[in-house]
Amino acid sequence: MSYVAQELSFRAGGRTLLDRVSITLAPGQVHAVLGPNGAGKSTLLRLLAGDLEPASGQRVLNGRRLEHWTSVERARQRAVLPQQHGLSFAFTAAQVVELGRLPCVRQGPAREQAIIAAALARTDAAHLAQQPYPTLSGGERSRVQLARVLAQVWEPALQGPQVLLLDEPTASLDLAHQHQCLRLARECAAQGMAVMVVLHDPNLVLSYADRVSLLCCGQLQAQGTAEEVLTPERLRQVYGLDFSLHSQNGQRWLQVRP
Amino acid sequence: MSGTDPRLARYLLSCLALALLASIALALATGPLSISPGELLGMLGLSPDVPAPHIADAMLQLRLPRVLLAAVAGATLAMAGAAMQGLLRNPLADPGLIGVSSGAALAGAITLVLFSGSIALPLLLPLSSFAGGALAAALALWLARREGHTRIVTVLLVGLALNGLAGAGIGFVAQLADDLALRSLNFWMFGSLGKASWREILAVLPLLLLPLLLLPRHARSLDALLLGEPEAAHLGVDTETLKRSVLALSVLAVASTVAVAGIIGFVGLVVPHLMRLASGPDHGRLLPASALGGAILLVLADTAARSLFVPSELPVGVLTALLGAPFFLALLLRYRHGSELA
Repeated sequence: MSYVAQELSFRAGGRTLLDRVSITLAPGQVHAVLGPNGAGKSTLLRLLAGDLEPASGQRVLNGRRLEHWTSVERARQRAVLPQQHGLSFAFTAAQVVELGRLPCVRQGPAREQAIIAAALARTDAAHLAQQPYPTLSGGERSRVQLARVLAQVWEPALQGPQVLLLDEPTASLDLAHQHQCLRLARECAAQGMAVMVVLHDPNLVLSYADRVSLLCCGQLQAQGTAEEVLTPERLRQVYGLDFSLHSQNGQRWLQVRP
Repeated sequence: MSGTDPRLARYLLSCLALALLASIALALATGPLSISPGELLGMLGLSPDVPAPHIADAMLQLRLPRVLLAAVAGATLAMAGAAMQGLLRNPLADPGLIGVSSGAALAGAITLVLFSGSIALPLLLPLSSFAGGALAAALALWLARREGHTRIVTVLLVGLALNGLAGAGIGFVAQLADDLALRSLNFWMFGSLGKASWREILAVLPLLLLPLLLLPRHARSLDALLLGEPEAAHLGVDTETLKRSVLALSVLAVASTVAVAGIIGFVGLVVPHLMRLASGPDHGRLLPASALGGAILLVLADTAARSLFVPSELPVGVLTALLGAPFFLALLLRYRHGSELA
């Protein structure tokens, strides 16, 4: 068990943004979180990241309650890709990735440079290394930030499997980079990490996720394998759209009837 | 950080250090009593030329403390400016603009009038300035905080109000002051290093050196903070402690210079900005480069201030404001279309 959250609730401004949601992120698995805007996906991710404190419920990371981890211990154990990538100071892309190494035990300049270069290469951003970050496009910024997150968890941690929390990593990416990003998520899972990824496209979930949590209005609608959860019937209830499920050569996809 | 060419950083810092030494030599050699470069070296025991005793005495008792104070105060102001800009993630944040300097000056002015002639004054002045500066900083940041975000426009506007309030307060205090205190008050309004003597320097030097030595320890955390507060926390930075610590050190830096030299504006804005062009935003390089640049600027500005209109002396704060205000306007215009002001 990598990261277990039980009955998490969060309220802000008199509204319940998340209502008793439980989720388990297991090592070796990609866990997708899907749901309409305002469903509480980002709130759940920020609770798991430790940005927010839940009104009730508990978070147990590798057998120890999240509150009992020091901030550096947490940073070695879990990395977070946020949704917004605001940075107005002219760091180069390589410098942004190097910030990911902040909590890590440094390995000497040559090895550090190699890790930064390799992380950028994995997100197809090696050619951006010396570019000033503010001059990059939205998609390029996401890839540099993803490389920063990868650099942060480059070496395995001592205190159990690492956790990756990715908030809509595909949002500003082109089609090819969306798939590349999720292949990376799969690779990280194959290395033994527990990966949570917030997504909007049910077909990406079908292709890449081991498990999925479907959220709506702050409540968990369903949880299980992608095939169990993403039924046309349930998606119609949640999104109010007409879905149909197709399958060919073992590959399944959902289609929305316009 | 070593993302960009590390040689550039080494050269930048060494070049700045050499330029600082040259500025200090120039400052020491400039003034009503002239001294040759050979005699300057002679005073250090590096040359056989030895100046006349009365010249050596004037150098040691008058010019040297003043130049040293200019260097340390300039370094501290510029580094505090760079740190505050990192803290607020905005290149327009300047301790003077957000009201810290005037808060410190008002508290200092009140102390000056109440305790005029007291022997405890050299100690009370930095203390009360620090309290005034800290109060102003806390007020500005508290008023500008909305739903967990500190809006820089609001910080600047609150700073404007605080500056106005403190100006009025100092004017009111001036009404109550006697002639002696009034003359000292004048110096608060414009900023001058003319009062520098060894006694004042020794009282305030530790307070100036503390931020100068401790702020660079936060360089990497400040870098991470530029990504955003949650992002810095994800990277293991204790953001609350960082913010409190950097703010306290910056306020200490500004308040201590105010205590000994009055308000010297814009050094903390102009210098970090120029240094960022050469060193990049990485604080490991920016903080020491700003310190050196600030020292150079203030040493040269003070030399100009005391030698441009001999025999009268221009307050150095007037000169830095003359340089800094147009620079600030140019920055405002540059960022007008960007998101930096949001």
